[in-house]
Amino acid sequence: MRFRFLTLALLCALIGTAVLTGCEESVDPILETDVPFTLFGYLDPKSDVQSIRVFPIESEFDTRVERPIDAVFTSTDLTGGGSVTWTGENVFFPENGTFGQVFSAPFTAEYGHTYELEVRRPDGLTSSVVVTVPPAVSSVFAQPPDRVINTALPRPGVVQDVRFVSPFDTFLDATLTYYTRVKRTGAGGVSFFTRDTLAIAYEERMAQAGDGWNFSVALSEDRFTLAEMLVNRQAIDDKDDCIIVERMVATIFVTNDEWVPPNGRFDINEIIQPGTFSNVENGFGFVGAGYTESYRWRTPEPEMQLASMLYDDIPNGTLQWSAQCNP
Amino acid sequence: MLVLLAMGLVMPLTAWAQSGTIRGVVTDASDGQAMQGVNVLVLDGETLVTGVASNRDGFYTIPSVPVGTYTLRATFIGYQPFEATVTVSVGDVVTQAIALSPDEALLDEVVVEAQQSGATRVTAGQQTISPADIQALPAPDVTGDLVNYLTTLPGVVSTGDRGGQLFIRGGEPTQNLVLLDGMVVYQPFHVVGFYSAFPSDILNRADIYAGGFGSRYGGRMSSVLDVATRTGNKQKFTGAVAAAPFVSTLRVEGPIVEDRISVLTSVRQSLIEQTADPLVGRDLPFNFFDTFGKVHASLNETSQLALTGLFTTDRGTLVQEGGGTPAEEVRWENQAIGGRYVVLPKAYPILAEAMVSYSRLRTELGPSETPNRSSEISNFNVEAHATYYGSLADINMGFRMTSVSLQNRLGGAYQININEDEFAPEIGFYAEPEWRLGNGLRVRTGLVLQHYKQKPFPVFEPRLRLVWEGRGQQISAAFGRYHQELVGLNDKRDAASVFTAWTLAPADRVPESWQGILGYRFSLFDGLDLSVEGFYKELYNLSIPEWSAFPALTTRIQSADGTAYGADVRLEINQNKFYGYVNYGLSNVTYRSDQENFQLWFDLDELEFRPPHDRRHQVTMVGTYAFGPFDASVRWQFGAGLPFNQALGFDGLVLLDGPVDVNTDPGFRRVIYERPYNGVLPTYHRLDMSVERSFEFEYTTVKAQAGLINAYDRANLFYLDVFTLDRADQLPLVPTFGLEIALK
Repeated sequence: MRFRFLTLALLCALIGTAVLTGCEESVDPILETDVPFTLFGYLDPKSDVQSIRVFPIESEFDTRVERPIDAVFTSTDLTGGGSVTWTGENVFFPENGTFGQVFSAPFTAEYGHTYELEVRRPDGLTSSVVVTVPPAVSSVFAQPPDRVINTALPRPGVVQDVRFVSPFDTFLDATLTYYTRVKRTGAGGVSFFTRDTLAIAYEERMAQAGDGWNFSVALSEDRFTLAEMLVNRQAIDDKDDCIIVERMVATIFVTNDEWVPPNGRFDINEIIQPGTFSNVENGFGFVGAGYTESYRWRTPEPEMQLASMLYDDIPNGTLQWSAQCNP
Repeated sequence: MLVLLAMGLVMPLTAWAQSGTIRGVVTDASDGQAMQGVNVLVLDGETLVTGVASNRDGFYTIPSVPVGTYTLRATFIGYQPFEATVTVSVGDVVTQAIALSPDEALLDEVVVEAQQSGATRVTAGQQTISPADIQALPAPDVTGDLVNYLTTLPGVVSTGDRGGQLFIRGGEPTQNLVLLDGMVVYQPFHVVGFYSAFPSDILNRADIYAGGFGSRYGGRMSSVLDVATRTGNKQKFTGAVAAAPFVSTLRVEGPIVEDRISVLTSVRQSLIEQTADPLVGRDLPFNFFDTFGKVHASLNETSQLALTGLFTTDRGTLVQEGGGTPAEEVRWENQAIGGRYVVLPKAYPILAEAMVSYSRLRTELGPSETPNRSSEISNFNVEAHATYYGSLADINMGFRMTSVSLQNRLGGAYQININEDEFAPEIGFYAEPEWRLGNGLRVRTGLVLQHYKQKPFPVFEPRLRLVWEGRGQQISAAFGRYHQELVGLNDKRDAASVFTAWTLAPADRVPESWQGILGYRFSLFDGLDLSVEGFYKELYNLSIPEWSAFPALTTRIQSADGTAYGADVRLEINQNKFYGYVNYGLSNVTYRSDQENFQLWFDLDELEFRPPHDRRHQVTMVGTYAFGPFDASVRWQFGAGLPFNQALGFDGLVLLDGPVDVNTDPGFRRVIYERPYNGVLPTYHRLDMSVERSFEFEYTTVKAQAGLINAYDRANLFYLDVFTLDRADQLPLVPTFGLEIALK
């Protein structure tokens, strides 16, 4: 009797549960959010056109199809007054076959001015960001070179400061670029020159001093770095081979104070998380302000030779190959 | 531990010196196949002296039999008892072969090998599954399949009727060790979830260890599925052919040399791709094939040699072509081949076996000619095991050497290309005495010494298993430490993702688990059994894909720790014409990750989340009823919703590490997650039913079956791509019917 009861109960439970639960449930993998946009880009006071990439926060992942631009982008100069409405454009990126929305406006951002950028959706949801353009570099000049004792070098080293006069506090991409020429001997003993562009990172050699920054050029140390780079490129066979410098250009990218990555590094695996490295109100992403400042100068011949390099900025290279090359 | 081992060695040897050993093999007289689980007793008159049960190869060894003349009696349900007179001298090893003849009077009686298998017959995580258990379930065709039974177990979470992935008691599919006659099968489950590489008609038995497994098994930390196949008929050729909308099957077996060498082959080809449209009015683009072959030789009364091979292929389109997105097809291919030699040495009460095998799995995702992702794993394995039968303890010991090769090619849309090749040798030794302490108490103490490539020093893995039986009750417990160097990574972008990339755990971060099981089983009254079993696992150094807003499958992995605990409750009813059971599984799995970025992103040192296989509740109800010439069976399954990554939406990122031109830099697409696995998918439930009838003819048995799969047409989610929002559901209501013709 008790078996029959159990069997009956089991069957009833089975059928009852089946009937009660036999409906379809939907699942929505995308939650609702009131955050409308993600912005990336920067204001450049040296450019007469400003551009910002705008990512609508959407439920569609695929960006291989063009989407209508459904936003109004305005910028307001909070320092000097005036407002500009930007123009949106669907840009195709052949690199990965996707489309993206870029908003642009034909104006020049003023040094030291603060701007508010606002992107508004038709439903009123808005993302905004306030950006202050860093101050201008008023002058750049090279200090006379110094000879210093460096025990790591076989002879006195040569250093030379390039001074950027400006009250800016942050920068990215400090680089010293050497445009070099080296002699090669080809088949049959025929000599020819090859040219290389070699960039050396200088962030570590930037120092804030007084009303600006010193870009401390270490010519003797760079000579070894350049030789290594040229050997790696198989431009020279021996690190002691002669290196002729045709040009030296110091470049920095001056930025506003907020343009500082978390933990001091631009690690894509860290920054990828929305909200990380972000200054956009009711949105994600980062909008900065910055400009590139470059300076070209010539180090006097004696110091160049002391650094085991020659300087010849004549385009076709009239400098004769001589014993002076490796003094 | 060493002292215990020494005691285990010495004491049985002492006893052996004053007695003898009886051993041999038990076979079925009707077909020459080995019989396992046969009770072999030594009787002095009618007084029981000692006894054992035959093992999976049919061998039995009775050590420490006092000098004298005895009656050796073998009994098995459905067979006539076997008796022989055996005389044992000091130090003798007497070999006595046993052939059991079926009892014609009992042929029609339903025998479910009641003492060994059944829904509640779980002992410290271990359960034996017989072909009869499988046949009791409704299936989409007339032949049964092992996986159909596995998915009814309370601690087993499956991806449903597609996908072929099993999560056992908080573990992940790649943490399950699946063995077929000792060979590793990396992906034994077919893309259609009702099928695996193990059709029931080639099975002898399958042992599933849902944790707490013994020292013989290594290299995995969740579970072991140890499948043993039949040897094949050694006396006459026989076979069967079956057809159903889902699959067609051919099985042939017979003697190559009568009573000595047999062959068993099986071939299955799915038909669902061809039959789905007329049957259910929509395409079901799934295809699988498997073939199995085995040659078994009884070299003499004390040794056997078997050569086994398996080949499977699977292909399934998870997401159909549409909206400019190409079809997303997953494919995998298993190969396994191995040889196994088992011997009872002449002079000692020892069973020894040696095994050599090669296994390979290749998985691809994407278009068939140009897959976006592929992953390949292969191993060459050599192992040897020996069991010494003592008076107080049986001592198991052995070693295994494995060389594993891995190859990953990961690419595709929004994917960073990854190419990597790796090689990982593993070697391990173990010793595991099993003590018979009297009063129904057995204790097995094991110790494994294992070397992994990614560990600087060999690791020790203690194992313990304890079983007490008496007065219709059983208390069992198991405890152990486990490591796993090979890890499988899934794409967390997709709910129910099925593509797995195999890779090595990071150096010195080999995943590790400590786990314990405690179970209690008893009969409420005759025909109604109940078992309750709880488990707890601490998991360390789990290698899981790095959690990131980057929309890409990566082999960059993060370390996580985890905890899994839960309980299984099983109720089994066996009453004349009705057999049924209810299984309930409660589970709670939590991962804790201290990924470096979490501090920056969430201001947390450690993030706790539910992994995507954390199914909290699972219920299975199965009932079979015999009325007249018909057998009807019904199964209902329910599973609570699984966690998945719910997103706020998608945006992009341009890496502003300098003066970047946003007009030319495409940036990266990214997903805005709130927290890992913050969403829960809908519940899963389904009702299957079938009716079956057999017709006996002079030379053949014809079996006909009809049924319904997903009887109330529940739209259970199978696959959800959170990036494309593509959703694929599991099988709809499918009427099934099948026919099998078997030679007698």
